[in-house]
Formats: sequence, structure tokens, C-alpha cells
Amino acid sequence: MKKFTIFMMLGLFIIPTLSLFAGGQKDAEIKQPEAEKKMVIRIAEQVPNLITPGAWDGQAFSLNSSIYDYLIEMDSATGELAPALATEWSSKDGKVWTFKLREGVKFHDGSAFTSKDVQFTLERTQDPDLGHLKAKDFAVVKSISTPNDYTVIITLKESLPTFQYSMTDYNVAMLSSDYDYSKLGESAPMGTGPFMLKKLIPKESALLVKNSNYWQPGLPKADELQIYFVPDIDSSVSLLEAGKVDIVPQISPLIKQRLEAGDGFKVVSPYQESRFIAMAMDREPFDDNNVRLAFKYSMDPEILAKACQGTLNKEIYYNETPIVNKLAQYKDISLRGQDIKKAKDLLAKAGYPDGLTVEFYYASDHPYGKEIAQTLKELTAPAGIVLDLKGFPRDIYLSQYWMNAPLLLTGWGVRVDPSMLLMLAYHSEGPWNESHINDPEVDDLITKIKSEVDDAQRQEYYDRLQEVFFERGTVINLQVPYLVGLSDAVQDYRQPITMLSQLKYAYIK
Amino acid sequence: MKTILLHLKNNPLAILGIMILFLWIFAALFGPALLSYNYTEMDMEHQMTTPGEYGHLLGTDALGRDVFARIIYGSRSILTVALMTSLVSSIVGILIGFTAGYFGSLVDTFFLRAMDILMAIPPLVLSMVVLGILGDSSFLSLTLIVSIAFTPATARVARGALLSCKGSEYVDAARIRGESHFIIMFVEILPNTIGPIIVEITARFAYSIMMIASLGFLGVGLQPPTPDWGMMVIENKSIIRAASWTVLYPSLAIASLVIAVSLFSDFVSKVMIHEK
Repeated sequence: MKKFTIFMMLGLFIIPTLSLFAGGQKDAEIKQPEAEKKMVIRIAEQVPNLITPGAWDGQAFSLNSSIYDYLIEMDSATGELAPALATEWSSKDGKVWTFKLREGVKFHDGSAFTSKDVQFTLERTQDPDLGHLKAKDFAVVKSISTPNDYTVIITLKESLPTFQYSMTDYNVAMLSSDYDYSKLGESAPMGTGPFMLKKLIPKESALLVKNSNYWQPGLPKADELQIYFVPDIDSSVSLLEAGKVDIVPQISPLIKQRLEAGDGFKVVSPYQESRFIAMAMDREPFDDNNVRLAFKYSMDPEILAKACQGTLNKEIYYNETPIVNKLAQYKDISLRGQDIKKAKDLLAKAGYPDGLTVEFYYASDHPYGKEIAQTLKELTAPAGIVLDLKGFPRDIYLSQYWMNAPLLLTGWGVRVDPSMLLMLAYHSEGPWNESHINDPEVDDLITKIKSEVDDAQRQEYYDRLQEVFFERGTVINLQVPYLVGLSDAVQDYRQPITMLSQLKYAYIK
Repeated sequence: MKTILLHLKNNPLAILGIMILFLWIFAALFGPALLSYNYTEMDMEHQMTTPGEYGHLLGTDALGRDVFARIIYGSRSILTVALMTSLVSSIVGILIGFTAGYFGSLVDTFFLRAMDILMAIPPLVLSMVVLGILGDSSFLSLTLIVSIAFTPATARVARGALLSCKGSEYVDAARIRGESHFIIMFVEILPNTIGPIIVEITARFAYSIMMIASLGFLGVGLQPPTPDWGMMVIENKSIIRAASWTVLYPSLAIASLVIAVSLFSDFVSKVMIHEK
């Protein structure tokens, strides 16, 4: 015990001293391997999965978006759709869609990419054994015909004027129809992407090498991608600071400050993503709209923005609908403003004159999770809404509590076409309807939005939908920057709103 | 009492330890009433304020919360859980250790093997696994789990202490008098073995503080916004360069409390065992 005490005494003086000088040490310089002249980009990914697109959400985007290509991709600079494996696409009525495919594209095994592969990929979404995440979206497909190797005609059961956006979804990467998924599984993933998987050590690392037959001349710029699966974000950032990796996606705003305070790093924010505070409409107390409104009246968006280390309407945005502020479909509805008295009155009207306690579930290791949860607890307390915070690691949160809680906070990527998100999460039959919303008018508007050909009319439906959400919706949409930590040596890092990083453009200076 | 004071007089480190310990107990009991900030109160105009500015004695964290207030409130939770943990693990450990040692034979083998199995798993790992499965870390669950992790060590100490007295004449005399097993164990033997057991309880108290702080640091301790000292360290780790005080002061709080309890434990050991 005496030795232990002496040790602790020493610690008392050493730990603070080290803490004080922690920031004074120059960060290790980032070095590339010198023995080989290959350009290697090293990434620390938090999600340790290579999953054939569509099977389950939990794939490492940098890995999948490098192995696979999509019919259509997004220009990260303009935000416009850009040709990828499809060179052009058209539809006169939104019902019959023609996609012209790029010729000369080859899969990693050397076989040609043709219309049969597109047909295989899309029909695969309806495989009942697979539980494909886009099954509902593509159930609208009536038939797929392939008049030649480079033309695909998709006939829909109903008119869908924004159908082409579905082709940018991360679950609709083009797969090889020759690949035997039942036999080979994910041992040799077959895509047409800029990099080929050379070695995968599950839950540890993946090595990808340049696809020298890539259809885009001059790309990819790097020779290899070395991806490490590091679930702990602090460890990932330590690797970046030590020069062991070049890219760390999905960092928190506090880590952004830490990196920016050091030399040799930069933080980019390629797009905004949503943090949905979802109130379950089918459970007490949020089955009563008065409680939902009381919750909303207790909010102070400016405080929430500051808690996320940003400024409202600059880095952080807030509204009460599923549509993000930066999309064209967004209707600018004035914020209701914090009104504690009104919140209390609404609670009393709902039968909670003495306030209420509700469990609030969130992923404690997800960027912004803890900050938002603790701030919400403070904001709602004066109105009489006591939040019992239940924070869990992200995998436990998603597997055990998500979709099954009265109040929750979930991170959502933005969909290029908001109707994709609406069908997924706000239609009563949506597979990811986390707030269990079941409002006939909302369902009707979402269905109309999906099928309306006239842009102006569709926008009217969007406007009305957002009004409904403001009046009686189940969500608060806090939009935060998606942050990626990079070493200064990394150039031309692109990641559009589709969430798919385009590492084919990136290179090391 | 005179002996204790005499020992204290010759042991300045013990005086230091007891003073620090009393300071923390005072802070836990009366500190919150004397503070001008609540531990969850967010001063969004002064996020990461340096110590001494805008009325924040030890500065604020990234959410504008007063670090001093959080440390003072945090002393309540850590002292409560640590005290409860050391008491529960000691009581259960004494019951198990005494029962095993007193009855011997199969009972002894059964309890010893069960304790061996538990001891084979590092206490921190055991606590993390159980807390991970339970999912929710409340005061109660944290107390129970850390107690379970610490019980085997206490049980072994208690068993050893009992065995050293089991063959004593006063125990035989009690048996001849027809006293029940319970009376023999806890009225006759326990008072005569209390020295090492009290030392074990105080040592366990120090370990509990370390364990609770470690669990908080690893993210499986008490739920935020409860100001768990270990959690404060990990929460602010990212901003150690920009706001080193948010990590420094909770670390100092943990270290000072552990040292104080260790010094106190040393003193108790000296008085209760060595001098005897």
C-alpha cells in the first residue's frame, strides 16, 4: 500500500505537468513510405464492414465507393448529377426510363459491364431472401428490358419523375451478374470501381490497389488505399496526428478544434447531415400533439447550435421538418422561438400539469450525440419535461433501441432527392420510420411528391408537407456539418451529399 | 483514542490524507449549497472560458458548464458509489469468506472455486462486460457491479482472518457453550479479526474510486450529465490543447482523493495490524 501511495503521489505531480505541456509538443510529421514510390492514401474508418451494397447499412463508405461504381454520381462541386456508368438517361413521362450505358467499362475480373449487370443489380433489390434496403423503392419497377448491351429500359408501375436520383443511392452500386454471391460471398467483391480489393482482414484493415483499367482516364490518382478499421474516433485521430493515417471521416466538432490547433491538418465539411430528434407518435407521451408542441416550444435553436460548436444558420441549421434547409425543396418557415410558458400550458392541456419524465435514447459515441442530448435536457427542464438520458455506443443503440423508443436522436445522411428519405422514414410503411408517424395526410403528400411530374405542383406538395410537420410533426431536424479530418498532404478530397467519398480524385502532395 | 492520536501525531502523511479526505467529504455534503452555478448550467456566452474568468473559478467546458461546480457535484457521486461499493463488497465478502472458512470441506471448496473464477477475470473487464450487457449505468447498477468485482478479494481476506482464529480456545469455549454457528462467527470471531478486515475495507475504498473513475473514463460509468470525474476527463480529452483545465482539474480531483484514501488506509493498517 505504501508503494502504491508513493506511486500515486508521483502521479499527482506528473500527470498535471504532462497535461500542461501536452499541447507544446510539435506534432509528428506525416511521412509516406519511402521504400516504395507508390502513392498510398491511408484512411481510418470507424465502420469495420465490407458489405455488398443493399444487404445492410453498416458498410465503410470509403471502401465500397472505391470498389463499386454507380450509374449516376454527383458532382461534389456543383451538386448536380453527373454521368458515371450511365452516360445519359431520359424519360418523357417519368414512367419509362432509358439509361444509356458507358461502353468499354470492365469489372475487376476483366469481364465487360453491360445492361445485364444493371438488370441483375436492380432485380436483386426484390430478392425476398436478401432483405434489400431499397426493396420498397424499387418495388415500383414493373419491368426491365435490355435491347442491347448498352441500353436499359426501366418501366415503372407509376410515374416517378425523380427516379434517376435512386441510382445515386449508396445501396445501388452496380454489381456483376457473373459473380456468385452465394458461393464467394464477399471474398472477392466484383465492381467496376477505381480500386480493387487486394486484401481484407476482417475488423482490422483492407488494402485496395489501383484499377488500371478504370474507365475514367487519369483516375484514380493514388496507387493504393490502405483502410484501417478503428472503431474509436479518438484513436483514429491519434493515428492521424501521429502521421499513421491521412484521412479520418466523421470527426466531432471538438476534435475539429483539436486538429485545427495543431500543424499539418485540415478539416473539411463536404456536406450537412441531419440529427433527427424523433418523437414516437404511437407512444405516450408523444402520441399527443400538445406534448410534441410543448417539446418544440422548449427548444432554443441558437443554444443548440452553440452546443454543436457552431452558429445558427451558418454551420448549424434547425427546422421541424425532414427537409434540410439547404435543399431547394425546403420551405422557409419562421422558427417558433422558445416559449416556456406556452410549453407548460400545452403540457397541462395534454394532462401533464406537473410535467413529465421521458427516456431519451442516443448514440453516445456519434459526433454531436452527447452535446445535443445534454443540451436538450437543459432546454426542456424549465418546461417541466425531464429527459432521462440513455446513451449507448452506436452499435448497441442501433441494434437494441433505435426504432423502439419514445424519444431518440439519430444521425441521418441527406438524400439528394428528399422523397427518398420521406419514403424511408416518414411514410407510415417506411422501413426506417423511427418516429412511427402515421398521418394519412403525410402519407398522401409523400405519395404525391414521389409521382408528381410537374415541378411546381411537386413543390406545392413539399410546402404543404412541411407545414403539416410544423403543425403536428414528429421530428426536430438539427443539421450539422459532416466533418472529415485530413492531413495537409491530402489533396482534392471529394465527398458529395450522397455520402460516398470519391477517393479516385484524391492524391498525396 | 489516545493511541490513535499518538499515532497521528507521528504520522504527518496520515494527517494530510485525513485532511484531504475530510475536505472532499465536506465538499460533497455542503459544496453544492455554496456554489453559484449548477453542474448542468450552460453559459453559452462563455464556452471554454479560462479559469478565473467570468466568475468561473476553474473555467468552463465546451458546453459552457462550470468545471468547479461539476467537480464539487462529482465528489458526491464518486464518494457515494465508492463508499457503497466498499461496504457492500465487504459485507458480502465477509459473509462468504467466513462461511467458507468456518464450515470448511465442500462448502469451502465451492465458495473458493467460485471466488477463483470471479478473480480470474480482471475487475475492470468484468465490470465493463456486465455494464455493457445491462446497458444502463445507474448508481445502483454501478454499485452492484463494482461490488461483485471486489467481493472475491474481500472474501479471501475474511476467510484467511477467520482461519487464523478458528482454532483458538475462545472459539472452542463458545462451541462447548452451545453457541450457534452464527454467533461464533460474527460475535466471537469477527471482533477478533476486525483489524485486517477494516484495512481491507479502506483499501477497497481507494480501489473503488479508481475503478469508478476508470469506468467513467471508458464511457460505461454514470450517464451524463452526471458529473462523473472520469467521464469529465474523457469528454474533454479532445480539447486538452484548447482548454487543458477541463482535463487537468478532474484528474487532480481523482488523484487527490485516491491518495488521501490510500494515506488513510496506510494509517489504519499501521494502527490496526502492525502495532497490534
